[in-house]
Amino acid sequence: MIKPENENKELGYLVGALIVALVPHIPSLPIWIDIWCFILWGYLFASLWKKWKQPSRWVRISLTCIGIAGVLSSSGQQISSATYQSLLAIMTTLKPMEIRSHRDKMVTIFFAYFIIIASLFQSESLLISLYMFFSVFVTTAVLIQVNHPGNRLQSNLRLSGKILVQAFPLMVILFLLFPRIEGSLWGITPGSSASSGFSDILSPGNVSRLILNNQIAFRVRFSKTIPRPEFLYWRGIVFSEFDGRNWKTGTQPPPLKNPVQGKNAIDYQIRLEPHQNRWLFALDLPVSGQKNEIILADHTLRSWHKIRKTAQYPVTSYLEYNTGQIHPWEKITLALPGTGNPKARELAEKWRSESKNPEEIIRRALDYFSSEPFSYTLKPPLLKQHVMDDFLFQSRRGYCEHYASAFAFLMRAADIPSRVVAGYLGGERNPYGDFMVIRQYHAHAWTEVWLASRGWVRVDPTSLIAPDRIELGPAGGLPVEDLPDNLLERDFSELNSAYNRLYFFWEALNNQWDIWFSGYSYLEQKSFFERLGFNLQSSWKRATALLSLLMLLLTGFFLLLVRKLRKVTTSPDIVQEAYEKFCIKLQRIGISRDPAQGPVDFVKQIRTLKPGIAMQVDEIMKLYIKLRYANETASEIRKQFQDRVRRFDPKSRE
Amino acid sequence: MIYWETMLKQEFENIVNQISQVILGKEEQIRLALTCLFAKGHLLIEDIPGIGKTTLAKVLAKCLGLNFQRIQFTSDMLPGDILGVSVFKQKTSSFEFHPGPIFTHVLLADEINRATPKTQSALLEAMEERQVTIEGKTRQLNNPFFVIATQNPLEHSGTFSLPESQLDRFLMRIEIGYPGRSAEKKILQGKGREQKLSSIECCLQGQDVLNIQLQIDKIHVSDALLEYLQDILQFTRSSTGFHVGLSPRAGLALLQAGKSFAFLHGRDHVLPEDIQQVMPWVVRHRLKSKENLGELSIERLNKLLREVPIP
Repeated sequence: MIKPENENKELGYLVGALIVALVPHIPSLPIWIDIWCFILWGYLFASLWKKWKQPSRWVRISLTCIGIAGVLSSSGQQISSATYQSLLAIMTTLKPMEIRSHRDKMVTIFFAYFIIIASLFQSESLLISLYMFFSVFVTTAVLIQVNHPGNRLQSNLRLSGKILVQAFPLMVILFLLFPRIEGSLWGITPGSSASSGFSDILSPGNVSRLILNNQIAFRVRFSKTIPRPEFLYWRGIVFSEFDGRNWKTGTQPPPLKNPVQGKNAIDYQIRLEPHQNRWLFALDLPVSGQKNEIILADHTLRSWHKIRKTAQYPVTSYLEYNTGQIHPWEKITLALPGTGNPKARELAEKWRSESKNPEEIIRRALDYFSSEPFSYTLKPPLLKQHVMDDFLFQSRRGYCEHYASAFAFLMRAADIPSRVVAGYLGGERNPYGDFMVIRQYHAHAWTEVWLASRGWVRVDPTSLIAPDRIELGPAGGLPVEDLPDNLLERDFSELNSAYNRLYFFWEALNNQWDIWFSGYSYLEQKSFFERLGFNLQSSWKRATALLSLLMLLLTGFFLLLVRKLRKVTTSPDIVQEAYEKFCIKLQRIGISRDPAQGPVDFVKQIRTLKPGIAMQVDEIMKLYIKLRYANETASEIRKQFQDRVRRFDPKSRE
Repeated sequence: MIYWETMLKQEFENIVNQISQVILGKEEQIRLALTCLFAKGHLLIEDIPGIGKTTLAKVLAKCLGLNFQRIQFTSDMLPGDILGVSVFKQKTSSFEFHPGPIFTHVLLADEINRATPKTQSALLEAMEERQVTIEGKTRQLNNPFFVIATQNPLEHSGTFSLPESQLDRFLMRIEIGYPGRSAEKKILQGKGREQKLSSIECCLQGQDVLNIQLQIDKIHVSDALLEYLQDILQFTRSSTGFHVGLSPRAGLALLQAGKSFAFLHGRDHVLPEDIQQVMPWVVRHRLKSKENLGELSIERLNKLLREVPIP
């Protein structure tokens, strides 16, 4: 009988395991569920401490109903993973109230394991994964405690750790070999991935609001060195249509037909966070894509599917290129609304008439931006009806999208094909590893103009207003009073403080983890096998490989176990081994030795059962007794014994 | 070696035959009793009266050519009655020691459980130490020295049953049991036991017993056998059927008896069968069943042997 105190202690451990398992979910739960959980957990511990009685069935049922109703009403119409997480959280508070039998405890433990697995809804980051190991460790220790109530907690923890370590090789094999599904494993869209980033309309303020956003847009790993900062223009969306105020992507351009001429090719790998759209980012100018991607005629990469989960893709880009002739469909890059912004049009017309070639027009336009008192700010004044006129001649204050769109407008007015490109500029370079992290606040917009000799050429008017933007990142060009808090806190310009070093180190670790763990999907698995020399096309073949490897591993474990057990029971003794062989031979003709039967008794038994072989058996047994029980150590005798046993064939004498 | 083996076997068979003429149809018990004595152990014979306990003890002593003394234990007996007393002699005005019956080779302690614990313990101490201390003077007992004690298991009124610690002093406890039908017929037909006893010839002399004991000490015990013995001990300790497991002293007793048994069967090494043969008689008075703290049956002990595999 377990004493009730022990029982209470065990319930306490169970609740503890549930709480430990639930911790990763807490940030994404509605606040009322967090409060609910803390109150009920407190009640549970208090009731164990004070030995209150368990609440009655009606209380439990009504609490369950209230909880479920609350979850359903707070999640609204859309049932996302957060809904399920909320339900799990409610259950962790209610399940311990009805634990009576051993079975209940086991169910609770398995429930805790389930909650741990469900942490993957939250994120697959390194931190969560490490925490999951910890939770599994704690839950396993409680599982042992429940099944061995007498044990000390310390020894349970040790055993739990041992089990985890032993499971490690199995885990690695399963991770590498378990057939991956192309697509989402859960079939549930993560709740917290509301798209942040660009939309398909660019209007003033669209980009500058992103500067407040710290979220990672994507990570890049370069196969060689990271290019210089002035080349780090991450091309994403091309806006070709202008309606007088906003830039739009317009109809999707056709896929690119003729490959681009270029030099200075650079290879890299991008891990893009989900953003619920189809565009992919790549360094100006991408020239090769993968199966799931297309390069459009406007030189942007596009995925076939919306990016709902982290995508990983390799890209090759030319840092220097010539896109060649303009396509007929690109006429739209000259189109302007019929009316509006008369002053800007007038200025552009003036430049056109005074210049010999488009290059001169561009130069004069850029001169205009650098000579007039334009300033770079996150807090531009609201622009009135004629946005371009207002910006160019009145306010002269704006963020990159203002300059890019004004420049593109001027170029179109001067009859030069031009368009606005949105993407990111620069990125955080991590000193621990050749990779960069590009966050939403690196968002940028620039302009492209078409020149007959060079094709589409990138022109970034912002670089004239705020030259530091390129070198120092988004915080560089902005006046200090303009800087938002998230950029003020971080000064990545130098690696002096321990905090920065730690930050970058953690980022580098996370990146590695993402590449090796989260990024190990169907394609990576396939290429892994191909590298090993297996071409496992069908999942059936992969399943067989998995099974056979598992079998191999289990057989290895089994053999180890058998060896260990054998070592404990009988010493590996040549004489005894031969004797066992002898007994097995006798067993084949129906004479089996009782384990407790001594050699002399055995001979007597054989003599009565099979007198024909008695002589032979007698001789063998005499040798055996000599070797095993008498003081006989001569190796000749042992050899003789082994020899006799080998030659002993009871069947032939029958 | 071979010569010695055959010699001894004949000798041994001779002794068994001689005793069998007096105690009819009880070869096994005779062999066990001899095993016990050659193993330097004391023997406890437990059976109802009139079954031949005393006769067995007497005939054993005579056959081995040893001195024999008998004490009939009663409740008013004092330690001095066993060990001896000092008597004041007026002639020399000094105390003169009169040795008690314990100064002999074979001591038959008849109905040992009739004496008071004080007297019992005086004897049992002497059995263990093989010396007695009387009035501050330590006196060695004879060598060899055996105690063959008998007790009646059925009679309980006016008896002091031996505590476990004292039962432990006996290497073996055997029962004689009723004779078989034909053996009993012979007893009924034959001459009186006393007359037969006188016709018994000495087979050995005092020194021979000591020699045999020395030989037994040299019997080889292999590791495998020790493993087996330990398995048996461990089984009684870990199995749930027993009140308390066997002690290391019990293990030593079992080994000693096994060696003696092997020797009497003409072997210079101990086999698992030797242990199996003597085991019930060596451990039965040292083990108690868990359920009722009572004695274990021979069947239960044989079952124990079947459950312990020979390594």
